[in-house]
This record gives sequence, C-alpha cells and structure tokens, in this order.
Amino acid sequence: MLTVSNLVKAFPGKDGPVTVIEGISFTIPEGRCYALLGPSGCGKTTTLRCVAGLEAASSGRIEIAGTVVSDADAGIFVPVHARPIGMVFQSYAIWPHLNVFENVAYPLRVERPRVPKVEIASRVADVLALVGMGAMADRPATQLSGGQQQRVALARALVRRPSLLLLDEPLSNLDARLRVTMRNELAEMVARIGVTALYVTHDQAEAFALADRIAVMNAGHIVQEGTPREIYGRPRASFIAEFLGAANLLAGRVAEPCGPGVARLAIEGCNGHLVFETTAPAGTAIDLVLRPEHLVVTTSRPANAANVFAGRIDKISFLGNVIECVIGVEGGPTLRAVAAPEAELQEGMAVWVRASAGTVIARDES
Amino acid sequence: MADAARALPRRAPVAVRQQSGLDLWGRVVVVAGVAVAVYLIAAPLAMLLATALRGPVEFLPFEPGAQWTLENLVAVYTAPVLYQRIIPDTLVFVLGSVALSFTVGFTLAWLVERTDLPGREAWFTLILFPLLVPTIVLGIAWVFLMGPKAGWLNLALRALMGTSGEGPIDVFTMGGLIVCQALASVPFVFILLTAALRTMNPSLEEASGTSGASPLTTFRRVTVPVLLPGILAPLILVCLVTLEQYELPSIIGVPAEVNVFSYRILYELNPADGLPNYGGAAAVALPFLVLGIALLAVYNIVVRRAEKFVTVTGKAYIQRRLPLGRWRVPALVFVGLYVVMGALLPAAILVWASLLGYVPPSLAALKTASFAAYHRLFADPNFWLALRNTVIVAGASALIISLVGGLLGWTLLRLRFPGRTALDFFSFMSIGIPSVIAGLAVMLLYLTIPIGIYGTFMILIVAYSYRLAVSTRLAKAGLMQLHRELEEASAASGARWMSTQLRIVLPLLRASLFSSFVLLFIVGVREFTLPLILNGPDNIVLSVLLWKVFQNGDAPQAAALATLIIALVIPVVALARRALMRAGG
Repeated sequence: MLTVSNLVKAFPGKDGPVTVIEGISFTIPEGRCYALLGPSGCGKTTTLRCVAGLEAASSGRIEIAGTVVSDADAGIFVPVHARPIGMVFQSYAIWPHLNVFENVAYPLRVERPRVPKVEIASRVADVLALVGMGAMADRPATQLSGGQQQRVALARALVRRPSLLLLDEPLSNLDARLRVTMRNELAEMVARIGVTALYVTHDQAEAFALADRIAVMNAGHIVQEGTPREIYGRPRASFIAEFLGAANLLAGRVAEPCGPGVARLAIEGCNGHLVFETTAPAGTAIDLVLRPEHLVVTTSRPANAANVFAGRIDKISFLGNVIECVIGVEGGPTLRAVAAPEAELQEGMAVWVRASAGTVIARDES
Repeated sequence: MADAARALPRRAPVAVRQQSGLDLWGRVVVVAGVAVAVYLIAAPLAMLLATALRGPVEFLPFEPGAQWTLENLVAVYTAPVLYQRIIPDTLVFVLGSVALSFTVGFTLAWLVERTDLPGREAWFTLILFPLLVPTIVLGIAWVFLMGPKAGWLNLALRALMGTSGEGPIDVFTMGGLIVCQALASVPFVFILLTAALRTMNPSLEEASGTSGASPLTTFRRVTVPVLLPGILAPLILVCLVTLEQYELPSIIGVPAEVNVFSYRILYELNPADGLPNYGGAAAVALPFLVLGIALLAVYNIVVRRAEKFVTVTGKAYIQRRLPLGRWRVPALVFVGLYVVMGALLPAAILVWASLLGYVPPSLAALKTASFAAYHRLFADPNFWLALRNTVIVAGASALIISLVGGLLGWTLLRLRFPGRTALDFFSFMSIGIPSVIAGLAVMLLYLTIPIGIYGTFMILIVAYSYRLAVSTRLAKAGLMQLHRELEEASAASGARWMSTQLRIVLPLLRASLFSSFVLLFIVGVREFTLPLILNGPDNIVLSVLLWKVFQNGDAPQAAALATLIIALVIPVVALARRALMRAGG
C-alpha cells in the first residue's frame, strides 16, 4: 500500500525555485497497480523518484506499507536503500560487470543482516524462473537483448520481496513489436506476484494495459484519476482528451437543456441538431470531444438522426485496417474520422458524419 | 487556450537531481576526499605566497626572527635581470619551441591519421617514444649527438664537408635548445591532435561536398572551423608544458647561457654565493604561476566552446584517407627524420656509449666494448636506492592521485553543492602549476611544518600528488559514460553509499582508474624537477641520479643508467597497453 499526500517538489532554478509537483495526493491499495500517465515534464517521474527516495520532497507525506518514509514537515526522510521498494529503471540499469545471476542477487548480497548463500541461490533461481530467465543465470549482462534486460531488471526489483514495486517507463526502451508482447507479460507477472505497483509512463496503451487505476498528470497536477475506462470514456479535461488520442475537439456553448442530463449544444459553424449528455447550465462554454471511432461516415444523409454534420472529404489516408479521412464540415470545423477499409470514399465527396457518442467538457474559463 | 498554456511543461533542468543516498559514511568519505584534494593543491601554494612576503634572507620563512616584508618582491621586480634576461629568454624559448613542435606535430598527426602513409602503426609507436622516457635521458642523448666538439652528428657532418674544428651544429645555443625542446614536445602535440582528427565526424565534410562545395572550400569552411577548438586546446597545453620545463633548459640552456625562469628559481635556491633565498625564489615564481593559471583558464574557455560542437563525441570514426601519391616519399622522409632524431639515434647513442664510452662509432671501437659501466652502476648502492624510490614514489603517488582524484571527479559530477564550479576549476588548476613552482611550494611547506618528511621519499609522494586533475578528468569522463541509474538501481536495491561505490562504481570505473594509474606512474617515473628540488640524502630517484652522474662527467655510466631507464619504462608501457586493451579501454 502506498499513500502520497500533498506532495510538493521544487527544484532550485536560476530565478528562484521551480515547482514541478504542485501538491498531489493518491493512494494505491495493497496489491493494486497504479499508473501515473502524462506528457514529459508533467512531474510523473519526479513523483516516482520522491516515492523511491531518489529525490527529497519539498513538502507532503509519503507512506509505504503503513510506514511514513518521507514527511518534509516532520523532518522524516528514509533514504532510498532503507525503503522497502524494488525499482525497474527506464534504462534498466543492468550492471555490465555482473552476470545475470549476480545482478539479481545484488539486493540480497547487500542486505543486512546477511542473507545465507543457500537462500540467495534459491531465491534468485525462483525469481529468474518467474520472469522466464532461469536458463540464462550465467549469461554476462552485456549479452542480453532489450526484452531480456527488462526481465532481469524486474527480477532484481522483485528478489527482495518489496512492499512496493516502482516502474519508470519500463517499456519505452523496447522496439514497438516487443513492447506489445512485454506489456502483456509484465502485466501478467506483476499480477501473479500480487505486489503493489506504481508505473510511470507517457504511453496511454501501456497505462491502460498495466494499471487498475490511472492518474493523468499535467504541469505538476493530477488532472483526473480513475479506471482506464473512466479516463478514456469520460475525460474531465480537454487536455486529457487530446493527450489520449487524436480526438476532435469542437468549441461551443450549451444552448439549452433538453431533458435530464442532456442538452442541446451550439457549435460554431454547425447548424445541425446536436444533443449530448451534460449537466452544465445554458450558456456554459464547452469543448465537445468526438473520438474518430465514434464518427460514422455515410454518403447519404442518415434518416431522422441527431448529431449529424454535413461536410466534404478533404483528404483520405488508406492505413490498411482503416481509412482515415479528414472531413471539412460546411462553414465549420474539420473532423477526423475512420471508416472501414472497404468503404467507397473519395476525396472531394460530399458526406454526412454522425456522432454516435461524445463527451462534453465544461471549459475552465478562469 | 488556457489549456494549451498549461500543457506547456514547466520543466526543471534534468541535471538538477537530488544527491541520492549520501549517508553519513558517504559524507565522511566525500568531505575527507575534498579536504585532501584541496590541501594537496592549496597548502603549498599558500605557503609559497606567504614566503614571497617573508624575510630577511638569513631566516627560514617562518623561523623566529623572520617577518613580513616586501623586500623580496622589490628585489626581484626591480632587478634588471628579470626584464633583460629571464622574461625575454623564457618567452623566446617557449614560443620558439611551441611553434616548431606544433608545426612538426600537426604535420605528423595529419600524415599518420588522414593520409595513406605506409606503416602507420609503427610510426605511431615510434613517435611517442620521447613522451615515455624522461626528458633528461633525451637531453643527454642530444648533447652526445649535437655537442659542438665531439657530437656524432658534427663528426659526421665535418667528415662529409671535409672541415675540422667545431660545429657546424652547436646544441648549446638558444636555437639548439628550442630544437631539442621541440623534439621532446612533438609527441605530446601529436597524441592530442590525432585524437582531434580521429573524432571528427567525416559526414560533416561529406555533407559539405554534397552541398556542392569543392574540396578546398570544404577544407576552408568546414574542416578548419570544426577542428579549430581541437587544435587550440593542444596548443595552449603545449605552451603550459613547455613553460614548466626545467630538464633541457638546465642541461642545454645553462651552457648556452639561456636564463629561463625555472632555472632562475633553482638558482635562487642554490646561489653561487651564500644562503638559499627562499623569498626570492617564491617572488620569481609568482608571475609565472599566474601565467600558467591564466593559460589554463583560456584553455578551459576554448574547450568549453569545443564541447558545443557535435564533433567532440569521443567516438572514433573511420576516416577517408587522402592518397599521398607522389608526396609519399617526401612524407616518409619527414616522418623518418623525426623518428631518427627523436627516438632511434638517442636510443642508439645511449646504448653505444654505455658499452664503449663516448667515442665516435667505428668498427675498431667495437673491440673495446664492455659492460664495465653497468657493473659499476649495479655496485653502487645509490642506484638501487634510486630504483626503489622511483618505483615506490611513482606507484604511491599514482595510487593516491587516482583514488583522491577519482573521488573528486565523482563528487564534482554527481553532487550539487555551492562552490562546485570553483572546486572544479581549482582541481583542474593543478595542471597549470609549473612543476618547478610546485616543488618549491612543497619544499617551503614542509620546511615549515615539522612532521619530519622533509628530505624523505614521503615528501616526493606528497609533492607528486598535486596533479589531481589528470585522474579527476579521466574519472569524470568515465562516469559520464555510466548511466546514473546504474548507481540509483544499487541504492534502490537496498545498498548503502559505500556498498554502491565499492560494488558498482569502482568496478565500472576500473578501466578509467587503471589508465589514470598507468599514465601517472609513467609521469612519476619521468619526473625530474620535483625530486631535484626536493632532493635529500635518502630520496634520490633515477632521473636525479642520472643528472648527477652526467654532471660528474661520467659519460659511460650516465649512458648506462639512461639505457636502463629506457629498458624499465618500455615494458611498463607495453604491459599497460595490453592490459588496457583487455580492459576494453
């Protein structure tokens, strides 16, 4: 279990301190996987390093498995080596002068009181078997592929049976194909051990696949926290919608409520009948998020349907599994939509686009 | 729009990171290392400064009776000898030999590195020879070769021209001194410039070619500007190294009545009449100390500019080699001439003279060959003492510098603390202190502090150890290659600071530290000025013994000793080179 409360981290800068984490809080229940997701520079890695003890927080409290390891205001700071953690680094940090066995045995070799040699041998063998590296114990660290390094790094982080597993962009150093395989394996291995885990990543697919809950971070804040489904389906800020994929973002206003939790929207340049779920009162400035996969493109006007835009195909890209089209809505915005590869679409064609789902986000006007 | 502005990360510089896992032991070790480093460099210099302001001459600087005074400064800076002889002679000597050695060194580096000159590997090794043996050995060889009366070259030239008497070459002139110093400095320039030429990315030149530039335009607009910092830095370093020379100015310069400052300092310490004038020596040293450090500051600026160029990656590229064509023979003659003068003839004449005495080469003379000089040398307890001292002092100082300097390098690179930049420059400054001044400063310090190491080999170990910059630089370069997550992973595995250093950092820095040790060991064996200044009854080293034997006029024994020194150094270098190759350096 990990509890982070009101964590603040500032670094000394040229013109006074630069705050990279501006008071974030979250809790990971025992045995759960949690991901910090966000663009580079959002403070996610710094958060992880504060939890690890590689950075000292400026203020706030960090509690691992019921023990306070960092509380700047109370003057508590447990150094890295004394925290019950295991960490997988972005570069894997496999020591080149040690072989696979010695790399994994290292945390036990430096443990005090000393761990008996027999126990080290059996625990290392167990954890190597777990990550599927049992046959490679004697291999020099310099002769490992990216995926194997990743497994060794994980084994090394797990061998001391940590209360908390920290993973810093664990897949970003792998090539695209391997990343997908390792993503699933990693999720499975972590789940099998049942260790509490904190991931840091900038890749949404990674976060969705690995974590039970996700916190999306931006500019030192947690913008939204929730399950992968909630985050994707109901983004609470335009930033998240944009960050999570090539969503269409249309600016507009709530024209009038028309039913419980439903309102008619006025989108600039579109005069169609647009009705989406929102509780915002009339006049609220909003962003309408339309995901490409929720846009249905047809060559004839769909009968008696709401949420239809009329437009013309500006550009078509054939991507194999889908056709991606850019559609200029008459007198209004540009929409990005996908269609089945067999759809008979051509550039310049007049089309209708129906939004089967959409999210309304009230804009922060402050 | 507000969201877009927020999305712009307010990003802290990535380099700013916490000093991870520096626990109590870590702090103790780091603080102790920094304190030792600062002491080794600063304490002698402070003493030097103080001594310049103490007098009168009858007293040691801090003996009861001595007091603060300006008389040393006044005496030194109002004496015409400083302006008429010391400064002009030093400048002519330094600029002359730097100009010559740089021209020769650059040509050699370019020929070996960028053309299809045959026998590249062999030339490379032979050109480096003068860098490995003590300069005093070379100086003696060149005197044997170019002495106006009986020098081999003069005998040969006189026989060719059918003249008699002296000459035509006279090594005992300013010109002779400059040529000899240049011969000695060439390998230093050569090794730095080959590195610069080798790490230049050839695609920079190729990109210019594909942009439509002619080879000449490419050379003018790309090659030269890109290489310029790489050329300037060695140029400044060789100025520094030449400035601190004492060996050749003493062996060749003194008979030639060339009065450079390093000789002047030793003269003040051992004047023809009367007591050693410590205050005077310190006063002479000050401006040259400032000059050395100023040169180093310029070097720092040049290197920092060079680092902005992408070319300086430390990566070696496969270079396109220019076909020499009909220039092949002149090029070979040029390289051959240097190797003959710098390595082959000196080695040959020393071996010859050690077996036959200082007689001209002839078949008749061969019959008189004997190992008598060696027998006499081996029977001399001073030889064994000097051998022992040389190995101990060079080894111990190389070890101290490697460890303290390595620790300092780690501290400077991995920790953030106020005064870090100042400490960095301060440790680097040690290169800029001429060794004659360092020797004087150490001597003054331990004359004053009564811990009984004055005149022992201990003082030599301490004195040699001021050259921290060498290992600090090497360790920093090695550490920069190591991802810092390798250290963080150790801490995150539960290791304390000490464990991380011993189990991770030290093994991974093995190659850097070992090369720093070997380099400093060779520097220690070559060292002459420091042990000469600090010479006591029990701390003689081989180079000083050689000088003394030579001064006594015992040519065969000097030659025998010089031959033995060469025989000692070459295997060390060969072994070290092989070990380094294996260590993956």
